Amino acid sequence: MLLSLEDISVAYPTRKGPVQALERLDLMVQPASFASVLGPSGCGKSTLVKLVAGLLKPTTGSISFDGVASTGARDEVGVAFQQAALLPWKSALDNVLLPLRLKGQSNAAAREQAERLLDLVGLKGSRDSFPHELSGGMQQRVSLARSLVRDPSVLVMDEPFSALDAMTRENMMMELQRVWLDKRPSVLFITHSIAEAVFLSDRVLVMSGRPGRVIMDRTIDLPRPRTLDTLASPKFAELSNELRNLFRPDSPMHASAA
Amino acid sequence: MSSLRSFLLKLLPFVLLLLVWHGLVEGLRIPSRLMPGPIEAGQRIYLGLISDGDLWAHLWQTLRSTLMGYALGCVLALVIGSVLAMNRVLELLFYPLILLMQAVPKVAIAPLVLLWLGFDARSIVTLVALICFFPIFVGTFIGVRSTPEVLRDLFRTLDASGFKTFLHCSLPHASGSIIAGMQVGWGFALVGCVVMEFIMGIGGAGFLIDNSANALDTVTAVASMVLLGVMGYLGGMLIAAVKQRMIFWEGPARHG
Amino acid sequence: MDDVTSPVPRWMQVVLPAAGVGLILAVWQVLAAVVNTPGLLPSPLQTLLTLATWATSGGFGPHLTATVAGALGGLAVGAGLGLIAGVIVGEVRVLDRILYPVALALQAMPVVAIAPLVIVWFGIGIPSKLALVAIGTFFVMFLNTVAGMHATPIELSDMGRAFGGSRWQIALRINLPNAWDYIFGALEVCAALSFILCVVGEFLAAKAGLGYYLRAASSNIDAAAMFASLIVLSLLATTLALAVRVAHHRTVFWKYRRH
Repeated sequence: MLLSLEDISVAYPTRKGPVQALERLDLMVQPASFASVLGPSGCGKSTLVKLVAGLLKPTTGSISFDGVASTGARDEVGVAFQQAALLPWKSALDNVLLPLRLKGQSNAAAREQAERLLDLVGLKGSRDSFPHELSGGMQQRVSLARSLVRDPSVLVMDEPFSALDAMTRENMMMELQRVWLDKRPSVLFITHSIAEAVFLSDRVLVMSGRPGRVIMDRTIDLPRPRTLDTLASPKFAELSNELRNLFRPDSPMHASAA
Repeated sequence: MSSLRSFLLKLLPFVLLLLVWHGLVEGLRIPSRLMPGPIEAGQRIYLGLISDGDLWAHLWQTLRSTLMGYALGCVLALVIGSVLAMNRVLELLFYPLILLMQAVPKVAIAPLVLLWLGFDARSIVTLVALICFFPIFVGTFIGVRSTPEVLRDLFRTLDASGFKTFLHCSLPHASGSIIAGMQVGWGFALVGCVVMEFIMGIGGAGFLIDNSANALDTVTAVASMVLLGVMGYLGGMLIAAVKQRMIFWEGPARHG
Repeated sequence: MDDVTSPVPRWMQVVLPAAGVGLILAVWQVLAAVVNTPGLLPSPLQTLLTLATWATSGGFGPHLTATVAGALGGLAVGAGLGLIAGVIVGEVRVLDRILYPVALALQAMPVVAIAPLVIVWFGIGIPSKLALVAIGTFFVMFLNTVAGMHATPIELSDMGRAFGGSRWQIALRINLPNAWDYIFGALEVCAALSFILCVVGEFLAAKAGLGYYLRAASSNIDAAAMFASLIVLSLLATTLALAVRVAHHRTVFWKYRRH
């Protein structure tokens, strides 16, 4: 599904007056493509996630899915938050089933779907485990499985691996690619990690500081499926460096109004 | 073997209590009409529960009134606590009323309830409900209010209605806090029942204690107090056991 | 339902509670008019008048004094003794092993239940009220003080020993100050408990005091007097609770500092 944000502005009311989180932002994610968003802290990345997830309405501008304008939560959008946000009183399987249960679809077929997804993310033996029995990485995998259970055509992920240690992050990066190649939703992936962005995406969008807008749209033309070898390739380093330069203190990106 | 051991450990404070009690009464030679020892009290309990059974009716009345008032208080506190926790406008509107309820020592309302509802069980049930309402209300309110925002966001992205979010997210999250409030509420409920029975003078453990004390039948009075204590303890244990089974996910932090 | 991304505006945080108060008064007024029997339900105005009459005629003076004396006197004795006993027992292992569990076991019984017995022991009037309040507050204070004394972080007591402090020096200079939080927490509970027990004592056997007055007014079907007593009683209890709360935050200032 084609996700498109046109002329989006979002302003938050605060005690000191309205704060402009996003200003006249345009962004498009092609069907079956993976787009990452990189940006400094406070640039409005989380606001972006909330917009697409339907938690927030833009002050101006529109969000459309396959050309049809929309606000509010949609069944076609899967969301993975920064925290795993699992219900601690439900097993991993029940957590994955939650979106379907809320829609009244908790029959045998739904259970099979949930089980399949847990297998897909490598948690076959942990179906009946509870979140407090799972590690951080495993919890994020359950969260990922849950975000896929409604077979979304759009997947938005808000720094899902930021709370994990470096080794787990790398593993999860590979896992995510594998899972994505299976169904190929359009993905909007927010991250702090340049390596993640370059490894996973077809395009990397860089956002400026507040008020946020897209200041660079870099296509990543590395061949798929990407492996650990890809990480070591010169092309990867070249792309990473290009993006890294944008984040240096003297770069034009930081010259936006705070 | 270890569950037998933990059971015995639980009994230990009570055994110690009996020993200290016995020691004090014997050692200080306290006359039985002032304070009977545990043996005398035990004999009276046996008489009152088993061989003669004259204490049963009163105990049963207290238990019944307390349970009914407690159930009523729980329901009211759960509903009102949940509604106020989820709606800030209503919360602010009712804030003065809640403050007022907190400020009044609830036992002092007993004569007023008696005036309005008369000398029957309704008065007891009402006072009990009023007195145990507050801790359960606070537990519910805090529990529902403290539902993590990310979980509520999750439910919004899943297009869940407010009620569904309450039922499947806020309420389970709040259950620990609610049960803690219910534990405190149970103690308060017994207090309310006993006080009402004091001033109504019709029946129940409170009446029993007051009446027998007035007649200088301290043995019956103390025996009734012991039985009342047992009731309080068992109720508290029951709720604690429920809590253990229900709130299984809040243990020491594991890997995260 | 509630949307946390747009918090309630400032003006509402003032207007709504005020409206709440107005609503209470309005409903009260309507009910009083419907019931139309001042003996059963006085209107807000009648209650105010009763209070004013009381304040000026000094009719409730002896009752007020009796209740305050009973509650505060008993609190001073009970909490004071409980504190001392708690410090001692908290420090002496043998006593702790025996007396602490005993006190815990006694807690299962609602302390109001001993009221008739206390009256048998101490007779009608102030002595039994004082005793009842003292006993009730003693237990709460005792248990919490012991718990507080045991809660000293081990680094602190180690440090005390390293500086060559004797056992009682450590108890008084390290364990006790650390326990203030527990002690003041217990004191807040005791403040409420003191009025509750005093009122119950007055219900049962007193010739003066707000509890006595409430019961008498109930028999006389004089709800206005009851409302007035309840208001006075609530003010007393709230004032005491606030005073203790302030003292708590002042003494244990490191925990409650506003950021």
